[in-house]
Amino acid sequence: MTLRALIVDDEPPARSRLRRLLDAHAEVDIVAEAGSAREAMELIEEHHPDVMFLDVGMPEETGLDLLRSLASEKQPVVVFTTAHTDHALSAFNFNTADYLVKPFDVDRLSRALERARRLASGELRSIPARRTTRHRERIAVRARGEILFIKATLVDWISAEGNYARLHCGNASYQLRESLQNLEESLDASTFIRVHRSAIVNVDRIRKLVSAVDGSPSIVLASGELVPLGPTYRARLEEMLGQKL
Amino acid sequence: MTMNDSGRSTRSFADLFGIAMLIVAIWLILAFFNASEFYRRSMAIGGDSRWNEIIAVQLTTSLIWAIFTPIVFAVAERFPLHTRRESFRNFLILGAFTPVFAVIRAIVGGAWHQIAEGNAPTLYFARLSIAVRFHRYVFLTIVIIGLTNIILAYRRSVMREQDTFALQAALTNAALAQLRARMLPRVMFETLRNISERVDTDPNGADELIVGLSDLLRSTLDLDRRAEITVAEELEHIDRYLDLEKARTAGRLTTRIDFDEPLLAARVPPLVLHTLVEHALDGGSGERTLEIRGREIDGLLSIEIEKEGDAAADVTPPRLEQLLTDQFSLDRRREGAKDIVAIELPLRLVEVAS
Repeated sequence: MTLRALIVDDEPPARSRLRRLLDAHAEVDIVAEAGSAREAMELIEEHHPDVMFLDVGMPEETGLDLLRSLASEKQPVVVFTTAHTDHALSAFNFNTADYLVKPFDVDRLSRALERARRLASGELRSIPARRTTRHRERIAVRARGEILFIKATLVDWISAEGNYARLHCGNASYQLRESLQNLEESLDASTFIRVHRSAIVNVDRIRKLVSAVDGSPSIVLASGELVPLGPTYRARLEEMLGQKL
Repeated sequence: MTMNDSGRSTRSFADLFGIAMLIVAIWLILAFFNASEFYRRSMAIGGDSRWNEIIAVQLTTSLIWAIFTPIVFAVAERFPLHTRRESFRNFLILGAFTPVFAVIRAIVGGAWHQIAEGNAPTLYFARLSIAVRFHRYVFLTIVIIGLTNIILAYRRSVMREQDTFALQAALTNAALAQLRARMLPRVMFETLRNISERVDTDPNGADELIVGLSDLLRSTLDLDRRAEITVAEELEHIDRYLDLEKARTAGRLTTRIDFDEPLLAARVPPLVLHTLVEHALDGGSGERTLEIRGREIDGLLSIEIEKEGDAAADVTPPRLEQLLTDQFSLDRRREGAKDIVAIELPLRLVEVAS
């Protein structure tokens, strides 16, 4: 799927940097660029973009003002690009795929694009909101006789192991001397959500909901793994995926 | 009991009630002690004293003392004997107070017994009461004054210990802030210089450094605000810095970090270890290897930072070095081509709750 994108930022160098980074993504077609919220409004009417890269702090009207004045059916998927973490929490009230704090790297941009694609295609209905402006992006674990630092985005899901936790990353898994609750609180809430008393899942890995062989509700991950879905969390997941079990 | 800003103690109602109950309890025990002693003595010499009468008199005496004790406390507290400048003056004041108080106490006691027997207090009985009880009451007053001074001295030593602890913590923080203030700009300038060199030839590399540097600064500000963090969080932060350093020196830095697994959950003051790691790598840019090891030794978190290779590290100012040595048993040594910095942090393990 080609993503038709609009870049909204009052600073020309910021727009050109984003354009340069997006050049590496063949699936993105930049249909227009706006230097202000007012200009963006007109361009949205004209181009109906799938995704809008939106700066928050702009003179006159801010990015959030723009979203508030847009009718919800006209609202493209939003990827915030901003120098401040302050608005990260309220930003998720809109059709938000991600909140990128400038300067961001290609990995973060790729993830935001993947989320935007899933939202624009209807594969996902919403992304959970952040609860904190700062969160852990690496997790220290001890394996193979040393401390390894696992990038949080590489974690598929986390299971409880007694009082501790186990990180599942592809074929590898690592024990961690931390409680699930502590991990849930310290990781990015827009990426990691609790789906069971003893499981946390990376939103970007969720593919669909199924009933397991024994009839219990489960989540299918991109890897094909099945993760149990607790009754308390079922409605939320169904709403997020737009799928009824 | 709580200490207010000026360091003087203020007592809550609960504290006062507790103290009052303690005083009454001590005097009741003394009443029973005296009564039983008196009773046995009178039995031995063949007197006809009855226990009921003896205990009634002793209880009354003790309870009057219980009422009078706070007065002695208050006077002894107001004129403490172990102050630096006024102890002689206070000694004279208490010396004058003690016999006067003993006389008043004797008169009140005598009068009370007369009233209890249905008679009006008389001057004769007051004189008699003073003659009989003066020595004993002087002794008791001195005992109460002595006890008050012992309690005051103990409380002061506890407060002094707390003050010393707070002062040490403040000094440590100041020392670390000083070291951090020296290190952070160096890392920034070093990285900025590197970025400017790459902008034309390697814009993507420059971009990576810019993102790495801003991530590191954000993380530093975030951790700096907190009183303590886990070792895992500290190491995650250090890993960010090492990534930046590796990007800056184009892979000429090799690192290995090893801590015993349970130590990852230990609580430490933020950025102590990070600052020492920055200091260890400061100035170098050639081939280097860095190893950070953490072990629990004798209930302390013992950490070693071992560096081999290119070095141009400047020397920590002696005063700062001394502070770090005192606070964290900082020890620097050289083994062959390796520079090793060892420190010991207090080990606070927090159990994981399910």
